[in-house]
Amino acid sequence: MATTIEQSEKTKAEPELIGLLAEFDDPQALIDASMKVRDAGYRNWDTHTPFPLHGIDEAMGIKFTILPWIVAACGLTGGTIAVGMQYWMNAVDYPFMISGKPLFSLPACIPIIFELSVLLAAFGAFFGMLGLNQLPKLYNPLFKSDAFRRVTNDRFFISMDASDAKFSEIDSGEFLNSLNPISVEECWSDVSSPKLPRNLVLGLSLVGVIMLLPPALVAYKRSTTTNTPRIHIIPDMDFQPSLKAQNTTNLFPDGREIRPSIKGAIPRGQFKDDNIPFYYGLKELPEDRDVVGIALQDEKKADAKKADAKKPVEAKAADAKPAAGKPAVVDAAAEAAKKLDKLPWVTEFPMPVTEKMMARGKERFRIYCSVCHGLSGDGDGLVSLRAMELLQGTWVKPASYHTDNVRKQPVGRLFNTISNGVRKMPGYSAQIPPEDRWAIVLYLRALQKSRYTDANTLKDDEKSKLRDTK
Amino acid sequence: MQTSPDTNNKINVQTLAELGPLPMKVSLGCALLLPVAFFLGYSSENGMEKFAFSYLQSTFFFLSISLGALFFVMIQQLTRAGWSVVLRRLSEFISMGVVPLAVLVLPIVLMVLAGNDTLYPWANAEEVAKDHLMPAKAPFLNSGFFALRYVIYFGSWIFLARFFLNKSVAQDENGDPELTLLMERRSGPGLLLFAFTLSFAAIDFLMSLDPHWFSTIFGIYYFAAGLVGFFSTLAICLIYLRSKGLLQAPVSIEHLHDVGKLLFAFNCFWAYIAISQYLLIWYANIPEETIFFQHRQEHGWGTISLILVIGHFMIPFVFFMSRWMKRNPKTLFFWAVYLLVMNWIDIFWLVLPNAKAGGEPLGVSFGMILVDVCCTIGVGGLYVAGILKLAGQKSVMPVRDPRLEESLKFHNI
Repeated sequence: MATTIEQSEKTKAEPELIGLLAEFDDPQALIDASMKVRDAGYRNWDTHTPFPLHGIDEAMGIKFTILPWIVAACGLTGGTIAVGMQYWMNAVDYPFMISGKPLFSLPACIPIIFELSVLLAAFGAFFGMLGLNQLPKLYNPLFKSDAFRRVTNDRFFISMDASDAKFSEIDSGEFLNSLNPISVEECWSDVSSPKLPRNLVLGLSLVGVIMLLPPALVAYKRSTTTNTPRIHIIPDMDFQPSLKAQNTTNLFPDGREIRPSIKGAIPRGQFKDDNIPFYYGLKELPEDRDVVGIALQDEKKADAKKADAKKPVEAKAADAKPAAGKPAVVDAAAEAAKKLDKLPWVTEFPMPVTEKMMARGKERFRIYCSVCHGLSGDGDGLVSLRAMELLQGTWVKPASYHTDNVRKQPVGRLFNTISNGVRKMPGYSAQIPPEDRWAIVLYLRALQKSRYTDANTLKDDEKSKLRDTK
Repeated sequence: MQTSPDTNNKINVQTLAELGPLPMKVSLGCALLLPVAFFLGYSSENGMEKFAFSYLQSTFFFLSISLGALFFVMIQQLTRAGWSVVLRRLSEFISMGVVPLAVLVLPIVLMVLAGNDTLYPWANAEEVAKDHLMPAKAPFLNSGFFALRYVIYFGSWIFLARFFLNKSVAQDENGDPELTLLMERRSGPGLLLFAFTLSFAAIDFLMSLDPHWFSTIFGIYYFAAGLVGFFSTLAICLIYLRSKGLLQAPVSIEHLHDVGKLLFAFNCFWAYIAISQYLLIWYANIPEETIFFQHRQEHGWGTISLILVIGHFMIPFVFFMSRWMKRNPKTLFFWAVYLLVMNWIDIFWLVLPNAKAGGEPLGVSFGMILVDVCCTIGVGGLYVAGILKLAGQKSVMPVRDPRLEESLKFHNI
């Protein structure tokens, strides 16, 4: 439909001729007439039929629609947005390493790329179609014609717009009459008010108000608190019947949920041969083999007591034994630390140090350590930051590698810490094989060195390299 | 329903016999390459393995085309499609390819019955006993049951293909519209039978080449590959027949356009299924599943895998999308041949990486490709000759189908 209605204040008084309407009773007659209108050089005109008519496009000289290109462009945009969005989210804005998977990987992005491409292509097709057809159009002056009512039934029309450059009331009328229509009708602009009907305004306002309700409800719920427990949509997932550590069960005679390892069993990949430095980080095993374990446990106990002593200060104050625990705890912790200090830790790596090992160490560090200790080892990993926010006082912040205490520790001691843990940090010997633990120690040393190197001692090419790398 | 118009007055019955004896001679000539492939295999290193796997690949490449045709015939009946009537008889002919293929697949089944484990490790009782998983799968994967299933699969397909062809041909004679209603009613259960037999056949003959590996989408993958193969073949046949004066007037550019659209759509469907299979395995990263793709990234198979991603999906997706490409017989012919070759590579990629010699997987080599190409042309010769023989003097169009008029006047908007 090329005819449009533009009503200015002036036309209210005086109706204007806005077009001509020719009526046909046969689709073939319409096609023949359309060819003549096309050949006469008219541009702003249209045909109206009760059903899609094959061949009318050619007869009217309509070019093939550009809609496919709009759809293709929208689809491509969607795909590009999907790749960009996922790259930015996963690799730039919130890089979070999950079990060693790469931060950005194309296969993982394909479902989103597919969905967004399809979504935007569909939007392009739908809104492009509406736009190209100049829809939605609330009013068309053709609907004023009584004859035009049969356009959805059995009549075929050509409408010619008065805005066409070739249009003139007399010539065009004669021309249309020469096409053998049933009748030719003049269309006059509407002088009545273009206001929307009152009921429509009311209805639309009501819909608008109702549409405001859901966001208002969400805003209300988000800004208030409630005492009712949250709704468990899938209780099986929230309360799983699986057994957990530190709980009891009557499934086993000893009542423990976690099963102790069988005596003499060696977990897969945990076999240790005589290479003491490699497996323990010690030059030789102390006569009392359990000394490492005991020292560690002491340290942990002392730590727990310290936390205990810190927490209920008010409660303890009222108690009969005020502040008596505190010095004792400090003593125990210091004693445990001393015990560990005394052990014969290796100070050199028990294997040749290679570039490959460093790369491996970096990779493993980023997988296992960086979530808590941070990518540069300052103890500011995402898990730690979040835990500080949530757990407030009870979370023990992971150590920074750049304190004097950690810097002075021999490599064997660091290896032991990774293997068996320290304070709240659990041991990682079960997850990380020893060669990888050593590689992590190596990378950790490199991180430490990076903070305490005097720029003046560097060679020129090293300096320029530092400047160039981001 | 109205009685069908006696269209014999308007449309003269054409048969494939009008092509003359040349196609039959050419296909039988091609069949001579099958012994050539055998001797090529016999004379080269690990040649018997190469030939056995190539033979399986060739038969299942053509089987995928015929099964695609069978699906097309039944879905057209089920949906009471009008536009496709002029193409349906040709599809029925192609679906009859399951008859020569039933004979061609027989040696594979006999090999399994004889306990030869060149193709299927589970066929060898000693190997099964040594393995940790195969004994558990033995109730399904054993030679006797395998042979029985072969009979069920091919029996069902031959039954379905013959049913739809014979009823349609009978209608050419008497113009009885009841036959159309009968075919519509039978196509629903027929498709169900088809879905089960195709899925299980793909699992039995192709997936069990590696009896440890499993993928629940595998049957659909083979189905998707088959439809790409079938629509390519249909487009090639139509354009060839039109150039020889057969079906020239009834099959218009509109029909070709629709075949092109279906080819494009099912090529995307294939890619969708392929990425669905890949993505789940990639994401879960479980060794027993990833082994399938690991095999296909080593020993030169990585190149073939990339050819599939880029050549089978990306290039046709971008360049075959446009309307113009599908409405021009020359470009449609090019893309149909191209996608048929890609479908061949797809089946090649499914089957051949399983080829092992002395426990070591064989890499892609020129010799392997040569044996397989010769084998495919040889099997293809017999396949086409079989179809031509079965088509015989039958009309290439259902001349008295009640929906023929609708199909002849079919027009895309």
